[in-house]
Amino acid sequence: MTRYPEIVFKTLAMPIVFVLLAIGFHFFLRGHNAPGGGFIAGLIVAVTALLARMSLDRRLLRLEPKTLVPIGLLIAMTTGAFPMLLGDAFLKSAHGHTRWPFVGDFEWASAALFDLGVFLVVIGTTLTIIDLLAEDNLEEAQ
Amino acid sequence: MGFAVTPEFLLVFSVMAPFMGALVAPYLGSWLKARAGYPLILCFVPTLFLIPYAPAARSNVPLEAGFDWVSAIGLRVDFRADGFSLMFSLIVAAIGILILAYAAAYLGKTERHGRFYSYLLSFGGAMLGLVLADNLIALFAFWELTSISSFLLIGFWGSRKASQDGAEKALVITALGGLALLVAVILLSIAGGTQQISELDLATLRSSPLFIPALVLLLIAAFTKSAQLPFHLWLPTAMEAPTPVSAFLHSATMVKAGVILVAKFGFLLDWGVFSLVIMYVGLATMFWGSYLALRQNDLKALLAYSTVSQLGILMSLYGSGHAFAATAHLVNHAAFKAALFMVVGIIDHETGSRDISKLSGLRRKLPLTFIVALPAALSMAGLPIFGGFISKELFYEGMVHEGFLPILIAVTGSIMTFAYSLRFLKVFFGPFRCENPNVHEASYRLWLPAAPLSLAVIAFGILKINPLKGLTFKSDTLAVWFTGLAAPSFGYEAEHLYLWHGFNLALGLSVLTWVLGVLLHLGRDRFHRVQQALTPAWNNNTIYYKSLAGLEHFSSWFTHKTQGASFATHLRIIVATFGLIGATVLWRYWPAQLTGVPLAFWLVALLILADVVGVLSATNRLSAIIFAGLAGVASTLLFVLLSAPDLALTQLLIETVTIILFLSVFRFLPRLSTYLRPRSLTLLDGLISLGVAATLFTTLVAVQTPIADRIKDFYLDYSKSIGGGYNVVNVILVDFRGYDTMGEITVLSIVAISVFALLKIAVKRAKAESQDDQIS
Repeated sequence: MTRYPEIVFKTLAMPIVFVLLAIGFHFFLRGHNAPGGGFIAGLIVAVTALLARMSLDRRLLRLEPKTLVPIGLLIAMTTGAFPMLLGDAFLKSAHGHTRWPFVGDFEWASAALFDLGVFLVVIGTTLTIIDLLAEDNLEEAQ
Repeated sequence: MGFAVTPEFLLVFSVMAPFMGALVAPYLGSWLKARAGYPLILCFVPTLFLIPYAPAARSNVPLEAGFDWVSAIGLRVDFRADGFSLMFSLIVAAIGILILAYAAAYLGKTERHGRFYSYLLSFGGAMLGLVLADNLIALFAFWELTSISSFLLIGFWGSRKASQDGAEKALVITALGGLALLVAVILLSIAGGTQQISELDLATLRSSPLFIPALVLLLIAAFTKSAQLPFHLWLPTAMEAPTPVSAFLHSATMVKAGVILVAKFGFLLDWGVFSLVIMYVGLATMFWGSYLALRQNDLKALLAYSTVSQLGILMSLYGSGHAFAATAHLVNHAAFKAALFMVVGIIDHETGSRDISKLSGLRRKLPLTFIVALPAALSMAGLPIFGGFISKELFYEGMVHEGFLPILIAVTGSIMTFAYSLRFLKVFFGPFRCENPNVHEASYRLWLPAAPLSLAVIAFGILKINPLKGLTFKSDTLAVWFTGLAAPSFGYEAEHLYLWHGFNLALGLSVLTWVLGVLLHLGRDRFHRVQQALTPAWNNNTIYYKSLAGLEHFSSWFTHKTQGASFATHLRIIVATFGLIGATVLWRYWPAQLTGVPLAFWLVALLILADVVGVLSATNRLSAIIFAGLAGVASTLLFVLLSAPDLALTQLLIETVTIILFLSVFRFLPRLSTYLRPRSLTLLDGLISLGVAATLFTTLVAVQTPIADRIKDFYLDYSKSIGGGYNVVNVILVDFRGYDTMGEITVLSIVAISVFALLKIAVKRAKAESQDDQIS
């Protein structure tokens, strides 16, 4: 479906993709304290990836998007199950502050890791479905 | 670094070990092929280490152990090695070991060995669990596990039509009993106030109105599993399983589960009409089983009907309270029947046939197999010095006390038993006759596993074995040890078992049995003709298949009638129901007062409404999609007005993705003109929409103030301190309600997989069609 991309679209796409990616990751990271989070960031990155495919005809990741789904699910499950090893309940969360060199005070939360799982599942699902629907083979088959 | 093996651990481990083996078996099977059976024997060894706890069980202080299963709802798995349970688990383990050794030699090179051993060991574990369980729910779980593993094993050669039929029949009938048992254990635990079988109290149970229904259901379960009339029909067809399976499950162990149930709950059932019902059902089964066994030409089928008949004996004995005789016969039957099945397996393996009319004189070619078969078959016939004689005598003694009719059925059944035992042995005698002339003796690996069972059959008659002290020759028998072990479970005193009881009625009846049995055997041809003449056009099997076909017919009729409508009609019914509920509620409880809505909201609402009108009046697909997108963006404004930036952001992104989705499937959407519908339908749909709106409105009003206020404060207060974040929405998503999110992303993943699969299928089909077009 990328046979005749518009010139403007194609020229602008590259910077836009980078800006959108930056916004996506920013939204992901700030999610705990300001609007954002894994779900929103996942959708942004998914849309960005689509943009990259449609305009530049290249994938952001070499991975098949559908492999992101089990990876994300695994991350979320592991994060949830980890406290059980310590004798706590499933999905028990922890958070705190650590001082890192150069970064300074870094605030972390185990929930962010869980959110990473959500993030990946959302990207994977969205891309899998849209990719398939827009896929050339469907067109060929028609 | 000592890891002490506590007795409690040993008890739990002896049940778990076969399950662990079942997990390892697939790997061992692909590595060692059939010989994987030899190392897997280890899985039944832990049970044998329970023997030292036999004296404790005998003096009624059994080993007990258990663990929490689902502690939140108070589910536990408890095991209790009381005398009877311990005795039967030893039988299961001992025969299990022999069967594994037998299967290792029996299975061909091309079988799926891993799978076979895995199923067989799961069954072994389930059976041990069933026998040792002291918890009603655990008992049910293990019961069902034996049904499932039996299904898998009967259908092991699933490509054969007969295997499929046999497996299906066994599952349908035993699952029926399983459902009955489920209800029974629930009723019993409610009526008795406990799930511990050993804590059930007869007096408490009797005062409950649930007692009788529970007993009836318990009996149905026991009768189906132990193939009692009229549920016996699954057992003969189950013989489609590989012979090691038939020897283990369908003769020695699983089919006794129903008998075990009656034995375990005997203290409840020993009660007037119930014991009569069990006794007569058992006797009828015994009679009918041996009658049908006589007319079989297939050796395995003969043994199958014989098993049905012998299970009838056990059932009638336990039912009428002759637990001592029953236990003695249970031990005997397990030994001789497993041995005979293995013998049939050997005959089948070496000659390629199981047809009695085509085989004779095998004694010359299979001398060792014959030596193994002889004591077992004579024990089945009930001849002296073998264990079967002793328990047959006890059976007669018991039935003599029950009256004339029971003893009459018992003797008649035993005469036929004697006759079919001779018929079984006939394949070894006479001139050698077999379609395969190059028959030679089986490998020792085949007949050796059967030999200990034949020895046991003799030992039951003449030996006393104390497993702790070795062998001693006495007039007592090995059966005393076994039956004595079970004594505390039934409250009988272990009597001494003698071969010679003196001249009494039972002995006289035995002699009568032998004489008439021999006569019946000699006149078998005439008897066969009578049996042929008496065969009715219908039997249990025809009823079974008729009702199965009827059920299928009914369900397809029902499905067609209830779900035959088009997709649109289905959707309309569902949505209309949804709308009707809300509309009714709103009609009856119109909210007393509604809070005022700021002007901005009205404006947004107007915008959304305009977009909806746009969607409805659009004449082409593209404008409909654009209007729908606009409506979504407008609702984003609502979230902004409500100062919910997270939701607004999400909604906006979803709208974007939705538009992309729509555009990518745009090519496949049919033109709007194909959706034209009559005015009346438009009106109906409009009404349904109004109903839906009413439902949504009602829901909003219902959840508005009180609940929201209480929850809101909690989240606002604790978001930072517990979740470590200021963004309450996100902290709720990933922390407070993390479980929900977990579920949601799981659903999302399933959706991704389903869409992927569906589209792949669609693509494949489309490609195939276009190829067809090209060819034609």
